[in-house]
Amino acid sequence: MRNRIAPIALMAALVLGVCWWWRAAHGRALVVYCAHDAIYAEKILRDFEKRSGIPVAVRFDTEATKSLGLTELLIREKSAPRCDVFWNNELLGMLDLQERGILQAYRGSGYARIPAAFKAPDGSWVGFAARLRLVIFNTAKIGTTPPNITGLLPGSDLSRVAIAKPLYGTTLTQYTLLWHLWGGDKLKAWHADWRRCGVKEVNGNAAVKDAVVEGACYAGFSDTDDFFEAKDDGHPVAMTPVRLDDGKTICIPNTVAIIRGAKHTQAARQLVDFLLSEETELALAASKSRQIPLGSVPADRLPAEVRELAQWAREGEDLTSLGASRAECLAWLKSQYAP
Amino acid sequence: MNSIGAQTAMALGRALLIVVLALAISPSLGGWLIAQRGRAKVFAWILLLAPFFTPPLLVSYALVKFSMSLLVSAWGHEALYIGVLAMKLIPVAVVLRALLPPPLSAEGRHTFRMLAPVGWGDRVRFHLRAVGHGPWISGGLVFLLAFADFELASLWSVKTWTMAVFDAQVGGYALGSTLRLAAWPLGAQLCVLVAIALTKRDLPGGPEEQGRRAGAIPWCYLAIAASAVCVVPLFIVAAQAVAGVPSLWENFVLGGELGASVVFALVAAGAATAIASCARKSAPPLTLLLVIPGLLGALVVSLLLLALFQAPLLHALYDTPLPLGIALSLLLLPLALLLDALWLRPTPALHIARQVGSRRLIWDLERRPRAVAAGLLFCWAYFDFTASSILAPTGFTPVFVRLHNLAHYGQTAVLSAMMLAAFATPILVLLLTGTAWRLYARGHGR
Repeated sequence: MRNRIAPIALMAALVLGVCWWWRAAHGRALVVYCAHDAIYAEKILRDFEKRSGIPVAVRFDTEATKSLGLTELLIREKSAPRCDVFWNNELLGMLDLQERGILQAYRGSGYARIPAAFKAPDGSWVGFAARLRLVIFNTAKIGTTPPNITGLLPGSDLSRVAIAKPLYGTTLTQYTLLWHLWGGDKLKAWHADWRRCGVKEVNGNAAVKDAVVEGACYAGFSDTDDFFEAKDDGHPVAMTPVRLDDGKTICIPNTVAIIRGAKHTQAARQLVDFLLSEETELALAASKSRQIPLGSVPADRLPAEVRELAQWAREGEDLTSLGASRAECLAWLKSQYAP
Repeated sequence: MNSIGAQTAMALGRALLIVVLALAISPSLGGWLIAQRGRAKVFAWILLLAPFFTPPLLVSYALVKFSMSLLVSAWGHEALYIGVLAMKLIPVAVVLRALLPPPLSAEGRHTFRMLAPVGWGDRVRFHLRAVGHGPWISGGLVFLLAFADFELASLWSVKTWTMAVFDAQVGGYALGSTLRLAAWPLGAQLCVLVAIALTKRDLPGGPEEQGRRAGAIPWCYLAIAASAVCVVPLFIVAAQAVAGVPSLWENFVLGGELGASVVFALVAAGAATAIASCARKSAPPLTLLLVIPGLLGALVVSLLLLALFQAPLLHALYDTPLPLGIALSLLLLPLALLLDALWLRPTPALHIARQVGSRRLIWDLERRPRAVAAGLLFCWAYFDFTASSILAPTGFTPVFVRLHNLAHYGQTAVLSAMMLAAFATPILVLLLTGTAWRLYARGHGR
């Protein structure tokens, strides 16, 4: 027995030593939780790293649980935060974090260039580089006339229509808006009707895009970035923005915030200003995801498609007052999907 | 259809169907495999085990277009999932049936047939006794693995209880609520585990004699399973990767993630091997305790460890490599103990080799099986996704978490090249290590 205690103790000491070294070695890095797609966000963050000389350690969310996973992780870590900067790919989760007192106010140069409709008055979060919620459809299957799938009557066949699981991401934003505009009862009835009519629920917006591209579904709800992925690959797809009952569109900004209790506040402020800069918004607009700048940028430097999207984005519904609706809608969705 | 009860029932139905398939196929296939000799035997075992060790991400990425085309057909989608999962798990039943032969010899069975009891009840009772406990143990393990599947289900949007638990956890349920949600499925798993543990061990009987000439059917099955789950997906990815290799070569962005995967896999394989070796002489209850976490599945183990390391006492170790290292080691333990029991027990031949002092014989009898077992454990840990996605520390993420994310954007040449690089890395590591080890053994051999 004595023969075994020594190696076990040695091993335990070694493991603890490695953990201590790990914490010390990584303590210098600015910790960023990022719910935006890794393929677009990583280049921006590496650019910041190169220019500022500040090492950045990034934790990305999984595609299927976009934004909700990291939002909930931040809530769990509230008492001992690890994260310095949260780059969310939507707004509603950020409103929840603001209400829980997890965000730290900062109004720097980036804050100043973003319009008031897309930022918290106290500076606890700021929006930038938005995308639109849309209906993507397969033109080889149903032609080029946009289908009115949101206006379909109960009892229609929706077996060729796809939507992501509404528990996460921008589908959650769409559901929250409908909850806000219609009230819970109408949304629940609509949701039940849609499921009865055979709508295909998949893991995320990218899976909706795949289902439409492959022709398994003829149309589906997705976002502009997924649509342009399909279009750039040469697939026969077209899109139309989702219009709410009042004719408004759903424009969903990325948002960024510094976490209260962040260990690298100065570096975090530098990153926030970098993300909110004209240069970053233009880079995201020129990327394959065609994000729509929210601050003022020279129009001639925007791709033609983004200029068209920007028109629709101006007709976007106000999302900043949806905090309570999100909480109610999410509680109901959790009871449906994880009862 | 969304309630946890309905999703558990679906998972239960699928798991039972896979168990039935596994139990129907494994006796004849296991006997046939044992009867093979020489290179045919090696080739047959490679074909058998290839589906089990093929990462679900490779299958789902390569077959994404096919699975999407089945999306509108509920049964087609379901059949694809059950088919692939069954082909991945049937090898487990076959290996266990080969390890746990029936207690009654072929002569005994023949005598029974000669005596031929009249009543059907007697016949059934006799047959149940004659097959021994092997089917219950192998069926139980296949059930556990099929019932707890998360990775393939999440990649193909299949409704199952593990997905509901995952949704609950990322959706912000407290751990207690999440575990309450998983209480029934966990209860079912624990019942099966206890039943396996209580199963009496049979006296070792002779292996079931099967003719080596069982026709082409076993080869056909092995070829179909290995092709569908391993060869065809690998071919699709490799064909797409050709165009993407130059771009990836110019901008090789996976170095850190590949390094993280290799480090975690090495540590976990080493730890699991050491624990399995220490547990060799332990009492059965301790062995059972060691295998329970691994058999409960990666999702449950990872969620429990996440909660544990978020507790105030251990919070200093949260977001370090330790939680993932522990999770992977726990998940490897059932396989490590199985391999230890299968290959690594000292034999009289090894004792003689040691007495003679022949390094060559010691290599053949002890070190080579040990190296192969360590290699299998390394690959198993390297290909993990579930535990890595939940427990990986910030900035040191294993490669499959990243690839899993990128795979959601569809197939591209560069992503296929990344996949190929990720799948080639463990093979390269094992080849280099194996060659170095072999050269060392030859240089010192007698």
